[in-house]
Amino acid sequence: MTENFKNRIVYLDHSATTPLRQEAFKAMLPFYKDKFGNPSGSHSIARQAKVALEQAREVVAFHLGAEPSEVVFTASGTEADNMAVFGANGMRENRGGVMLCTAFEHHAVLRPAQAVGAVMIPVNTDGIVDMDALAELLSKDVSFVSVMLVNNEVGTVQPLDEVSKLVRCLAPTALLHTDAVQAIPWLDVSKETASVDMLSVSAHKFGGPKGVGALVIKNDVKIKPMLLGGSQEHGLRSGTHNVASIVGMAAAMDVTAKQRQATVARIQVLRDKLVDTIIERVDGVNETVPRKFKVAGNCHLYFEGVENEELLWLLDQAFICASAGSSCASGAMEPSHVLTAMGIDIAQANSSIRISLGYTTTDEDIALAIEGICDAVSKLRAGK
Amino acid sequence: MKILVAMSGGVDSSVAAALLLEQGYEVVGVTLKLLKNSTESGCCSLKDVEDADQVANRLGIDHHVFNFTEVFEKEVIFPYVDSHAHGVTLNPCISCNTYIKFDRLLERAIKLGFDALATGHYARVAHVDDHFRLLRAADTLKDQSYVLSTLNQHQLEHSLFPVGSLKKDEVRAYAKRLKLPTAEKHDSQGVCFLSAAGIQAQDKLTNKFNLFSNRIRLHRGKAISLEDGSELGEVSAIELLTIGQRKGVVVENSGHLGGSGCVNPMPTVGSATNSTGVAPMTRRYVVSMDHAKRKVFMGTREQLMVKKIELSDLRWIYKPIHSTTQVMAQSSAHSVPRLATFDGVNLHFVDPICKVAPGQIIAMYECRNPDTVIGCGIVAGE
Repeated sequence: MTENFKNRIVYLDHSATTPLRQEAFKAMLPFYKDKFGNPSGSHSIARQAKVALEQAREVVAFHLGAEPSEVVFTASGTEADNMAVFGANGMRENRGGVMLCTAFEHHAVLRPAQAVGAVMIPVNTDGIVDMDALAELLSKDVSFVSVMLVNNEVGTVQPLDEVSKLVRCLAPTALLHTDAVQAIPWLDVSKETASVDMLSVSAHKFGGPKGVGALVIKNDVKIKPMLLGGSQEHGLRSGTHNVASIVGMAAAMDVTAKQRQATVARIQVLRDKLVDTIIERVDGVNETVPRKFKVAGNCHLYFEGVENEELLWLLDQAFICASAGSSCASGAMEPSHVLTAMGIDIAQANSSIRISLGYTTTDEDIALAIEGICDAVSKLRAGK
Repeated sequence: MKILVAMSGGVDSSVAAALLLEQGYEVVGVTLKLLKNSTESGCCSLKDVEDADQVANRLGIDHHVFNFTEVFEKEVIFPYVDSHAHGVTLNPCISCNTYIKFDRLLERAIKLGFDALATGHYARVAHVDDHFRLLRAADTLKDQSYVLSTLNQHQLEHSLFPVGSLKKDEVRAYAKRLKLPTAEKHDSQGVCFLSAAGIQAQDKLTNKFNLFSNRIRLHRGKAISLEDGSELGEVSAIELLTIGQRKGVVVENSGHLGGSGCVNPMPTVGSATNSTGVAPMTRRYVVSMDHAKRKVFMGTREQLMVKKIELSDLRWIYKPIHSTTQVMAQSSAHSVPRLATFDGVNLHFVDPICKVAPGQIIAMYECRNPDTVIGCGIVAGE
């Protein structure tokens, strides 16, 4: 391990998680020291924590285009997604109705949706929700629709405005949820919030700490809580607040929003350089989806005849961190359900990797990644 | 030297990794995920992966998981099932060694910069006069040279079997000494995708039935007595049977034909019902099958005995047999090797042996050095 630290690690897996921002770290520290109070209490130490909690809520609400009363803090993006699906399903017990989600949602939406018998909305080969299919699936009987804002694997941005218009028109009583977990570094989500009923985020995807997320639930929307107990978060999410992490999330979101325009512009140049150079230097490389549909930090490439397990291994040896598909419980890489849903065959899926850039990515990272990837692919192809 | 150790989550491969580490090799562990939706038990299950991971942690080595489910289905499970539709019974463990562990995995190991692949098999490799020999393990009761008898020089050159020179109890004692979490773990039993540890016999039957019916069309058949040509009853799926099988062949109109077979008995579907006059002590075995007519011919143990077996697809560890040679021939993983003469096509046994199903492997060992594997062949169809 000591050896690894001597070598420079090129971290290009920001879609998996991001390094903690200094601003978040600094903001959190007092809450691990003197400001340890439980915000549900009434004495001075509790009130101190409560003030911090509500300030954080205001910051998060502002950046998500919501009222503070619409922000429910959770312990993860997964919990926020589960809360949206199961919460909506809980209301459905009275009202009935069909639940829909896209076939390439993150498992945090997909699994609960499957558990409540949701119908899958097809997606096209460009990684965009099939609007015609959605229109056909929508009806007055639909009670819930979930369409992710940015796909976690191929980075495509979904046309949420259009989806919203279609849903409001054809399924007027349906709740519309979006998993915006991958969106915060790249998009001003506050604009999107206006067109949905619920929106999930996760702090560690934008430089915040792990183990904290939020679900925006519009004031007029009623869902059933999953966790019962001390009735925190207006009774929607019981459990003592993770004050430090919530404060850290707010700080990370604030700095992300302030730097977003500059970061997106800088990262897009780096991403384009990475992709263009690899395509120029290596034969048989293709982008899984066109760049125009994607956020700036995502690069998803298909290397003909190369197994991604082998490529990622060699990249790891070269201290380059990237990923592919999703890992199953055993740690084995699974053929990506995202790519399968897009109609991509298993051979191509198993030859594709995701390289995701983020706020810490530098020119040097990209130069090293280009060398490392070109080198690994040629080694693997020579080894056949 | 950099070694990739295939860690199944069992005690043998755990100790293999530990021994190599002790010998100063650079060691990385890998567990193969071979089955889709594998869960809590059975080879390469989540539990096994976790066990391997814990052992790797204990040893301070890296541990990875490779997803080989697609290639395992293509090279092992499907050919195994499909072979039954043609009256052939492949040995899936040998297919796995031949096409997965010592081909796909070994080639990957080499591509990723490893010098060799190590496994927890009980066998030994000796480097003699510029070639590699495959030898039986020091622990003859645990010897697995039979299931490795298809390996070629390239595969042996890059393979290490660190526990092959130890007795099983030494392996367990070593694991205990190092406090490896797998020290007391039970040995795996049977074919990984058919038998999962702890599952009941009936579930195994259901497993097998589902495994087959999801891949090939199953046909009912008739069991016919070889003695008098009489019909013994109905067979639920002729594809689920193999030569030498005794238990649960007949599912209707016949008695339980009882006891254990001379070839590993295979499970069946359904259960035996009322007897129709077959003497309860008469043991009947599947002696031959006519897949086209969907008939299974049942006979006594004597009718199952043969003195000649034809081999095809011969593979030699090092030097092919050109002229008629006496060999010790072994027809299954744990059967006793028998003296035979190999004439290049047929094995002529000195004493009659139980018929071996087409598709099975017969490994040949030197007569003078009965630990040395010469090669193997596939039992030809009738």
